Formats: sequence, structure tokens, C-alpha cells
Amino acid sequence: MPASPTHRILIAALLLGATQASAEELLERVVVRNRLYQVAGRFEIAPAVGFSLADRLTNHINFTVGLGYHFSDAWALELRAGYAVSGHTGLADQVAQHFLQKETIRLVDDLSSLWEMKGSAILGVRWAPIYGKISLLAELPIHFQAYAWAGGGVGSFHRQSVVYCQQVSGMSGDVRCGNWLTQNKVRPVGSAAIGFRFFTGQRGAVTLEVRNYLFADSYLTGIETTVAASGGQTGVPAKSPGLINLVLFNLGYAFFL
Amino acid sequence: MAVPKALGQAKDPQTLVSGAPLYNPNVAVHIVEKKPFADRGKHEIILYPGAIQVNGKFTQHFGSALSYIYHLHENFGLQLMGQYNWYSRESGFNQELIDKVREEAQAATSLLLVWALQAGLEVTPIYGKFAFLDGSLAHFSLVISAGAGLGSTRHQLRPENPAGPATFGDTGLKFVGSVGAGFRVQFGARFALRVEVRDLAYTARVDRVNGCNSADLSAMAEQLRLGQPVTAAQVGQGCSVSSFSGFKNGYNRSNDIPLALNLVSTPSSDVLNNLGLYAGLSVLF
Repeated sequence: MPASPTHRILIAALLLGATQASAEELLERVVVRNRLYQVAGRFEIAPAVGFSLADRLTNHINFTVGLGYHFSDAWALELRAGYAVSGHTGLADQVAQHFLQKETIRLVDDLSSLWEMKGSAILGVRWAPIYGKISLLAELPIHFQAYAWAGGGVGSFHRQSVVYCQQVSGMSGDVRCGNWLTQNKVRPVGSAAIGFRFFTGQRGAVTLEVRNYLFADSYLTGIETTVAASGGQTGVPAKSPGLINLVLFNLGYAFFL
Repeated sequence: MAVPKALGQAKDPQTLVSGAPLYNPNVAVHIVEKKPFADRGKHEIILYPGAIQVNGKFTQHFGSALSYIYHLHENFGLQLMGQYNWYSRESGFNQELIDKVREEAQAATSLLLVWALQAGLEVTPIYGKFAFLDGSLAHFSLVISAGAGLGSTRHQLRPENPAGPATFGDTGLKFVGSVGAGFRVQFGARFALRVEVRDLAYTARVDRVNGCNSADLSAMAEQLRLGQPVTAAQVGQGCSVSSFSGFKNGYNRSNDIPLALNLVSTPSSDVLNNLGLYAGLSVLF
């Protein structure tokens, strides 16, 4: 790392008679603030896999790839594209199966937060104001960045109802559904994340982050189960369906080019 | 200013200053290991104004906690911690299941934690420092904690609605254990900020409500059916009949009897994990 004029002056002051305490302070300033791993002006490719946290009705394993450019050591612009393997949780399947056995319920509202995010493409800004190092097992220094990320884009979403059955089969007490109502939509999505990047060298870093995807919910209310079972159209969209937060823990690796 | 000859070699990563190779930023000597603030022998009091459950599926908790740590060694401390959840209710998701599809979590699965008291330990295996915006330096530790103790639990009997407030039944003391991890960022010698994630696990078996078992509640229900006051019921020791009699804020508490009976008639058990985010400020002395 080249010495800047400021560094030279500081070191000169040190060598010209600084106290031990000020010497240590100087060392700390020079070594900790001077980044061993600098990313300014570099592109990066960052694959990652994410696992949804606090699953209720849906679960996701989200595979993403990010392409970013670092304007400085602290600021970067990143495009992330992803595809998720998703589905209903055991709880959602249980709710659906139990609902089918409740033949007395003739009018029902569908559950909220059943949309699964299948694909996503988001553009965002990453701000990494914190650069530090830790001593792992007292010997191995690890350099890291802590960052926040915010942006938005579009996602493709899939939804399978747990109450809107279009084809009921089976006997009483063992009722099954051959065709649940499914919907697919493309809609805007916002995203924010916080995370750490632990540098493994000049060309890469292990990335750990918690990321939230935020998108609009929608579902039907006033579904007449008998009409639905006969293949008819029933239900009206919920007036205030709210938003869905999909929170993922991402583990990835960033390659700096 | 004259620059000493040594600086002419500054680009050499092996140039030593105070025994450390100054221009090798990866240097460990003097740079990471040496802590400016020693913990050994110190006391630390931590106030967590916010302890927020982040995995609330059937329950939702918001609380505060207070902790005391005696740092027996530099990387090891003994800890006492008390937590009070000033908001502990069934989640909106659980209510949605009840309202829409007449499903709800088992009683044990939706047990609420009111308070917990634990003793345990804390280790700080990793120490580091960071610069914020290439300016201010801060020192931090990764903290890992574990503890065990007791917690008071309750179960929501009915939700708040236009007919009245939410009502709860005491389900007794349960064993509580926890593990956690987080960061302690130190500001000067005396103050630190903490952000931690703790998994509070507690055993949950619901076979009594307000100390009353299924037979007690059945006896009270029978008295109600006969038009008699519930206090006339013959119940076992420990059953708080008074918690099911009279009115509170205009709500007839005897209405809770069938709800409580429904909970205990099919006893359920579970081990619950209450994963919380704890943010706090600590003072060392």
C-alpha cells in the first residue's frame, strides 16, 4: 500500500519522539483505517443462496447472482437476479387439508401472505460505511465490511390457495382437492438488506446478510366453497390486503474483478 | 519537515515501527489483540429497552430486559438476566387462522412468556475493531451467551374484540433455557452498545389454567350450568376459583371457564423457541 503524504507526516512525528501511547494510537489509525482490501473501481459477481426465516405458510430457497460496480470503497451499485424454489409449508398443507374436511364452512376468506416469490430482478445501492478486522482464535486476522443495501425491482409471484378448491374428490371424512386455485403475477418488489463481507483475499469475500423483500399481497374474500368446487368464479379481491415481508438469510461469495 | 530515512522504506511491509510492520495492514501484533479496555474483574449492567420476538408465528412478544455480568476473566463472564414482556399475545396470524378457517395452534404451541429470570455465562471469543466512514474507530466483541432459569407463562383465552378485552389464564412457571450471540460495541472505557439475538426456549405443557385442572374446570362449569356461583364448586388445592368469578372491566370472568376447559381437556406439550432481537446499552464499572 503506498504511503500518502499524511501518513509520512504522521510517521515522521512518531519517529521524532512520540510517546509510546501516541505510537500505538498512530499504529491503530494507520493500520485499521487503511484498508487491506480495497474494492473501489472494481466490478463484482456475487452468487448467493438464501433461506427464508420465520416461515409461516410459504418457504423459499432463493438462488441469486449479483453484478455490482464499486464507485468507491463504501458505495456500490448492484443488480441482483434470483430464482426461488418455493412452496407451502407443512402448516399451510395442514390448514388446507383440515379445511376440506370442514364441509360446514360455505363462505370463507382466503388466507393472506400466500404469495411465493419465484423470480426477482432488483437494482440497488450498497453502502458499506464500516470496515474492520477481527482476530479469529487470536492469530488469524479477518477483514470485513458491514453494509446496508436498498433498492427495488420486479418479481414474478405464484400463489396457491388453501381454501379455494376447484375440484373436490373423495368421501366424507377423507375429502381431497384435485385442483386448488393458483395465480401468477409480476409485480414491483422492494428490497433492503444488512450484512457482512468477510474478505478471503484481494479477489473475494464471503457474504452473510439478512435480506427483506417487500411486495403487495392480494387474496380473495367471500369465497363460496360450493361455487368454487363446481368450477365457478367466486370471491372478490380483499380491499386492504397489506404487504408481505419475505425475510431471507443469504450466504454467498463475492468475486472481485 | 525532514523525513527520516526509515520512511523512505515505508512501502516495505517489513518496516518496523514499535515492533510492528506498519505498512502491512494485515499485521496482528499490536493491532488486533491488544484491547484498550480490559474487561477482567469488571461489572457490567445492561439495559435492553427492546427485546422483540422475530420468529412470531403463533405468538408475539415485545419486552425489556436487564442483565448483570461479572467478567470473571477477559473472555468469560457470569450473567444474571431478567426479562419482562410487556406485550405477549397470540399473533395476528393465529387469529387469522381462527377467524377464517377455524384452526388454531395447540395450547402449548401458543403459550406466552410473561417474564423470565435466568443465570448463565457469557464468552467473548472474538475481538475486533472497525472504522466508521474511515473516521471514528470502535472496538467490539462477539458475545456468546447461554443461560437457564424459570419463566412465567400464560395463555390467551379470548382475543380482544368489541365484546371485551383479551383475557388470559396463568399456566404456571416453566423451565427456560437460552442461547444467544451478538455484538458489543464499546464506546470509551465505560459504555457499550449491544445487539444480540437470543433463542429463549421453554417447555410448555398446558394441563392447568389459573391452577385449575380439567376436573376443577368441569366442576365450575357444572355450577354455572346449575345457575350457581362458580365459587360453590369443589376444586382442588391451588385452583384459583376467584380468577373465574366476578366481573373485570365489565367482562364476566366466568365466560373464560369453557375456554379454559377446552384448553386443558386435551393436554398438549411442546418446546417453544422464542427468538428475539435484543438491543441495549451497558455500563461497565
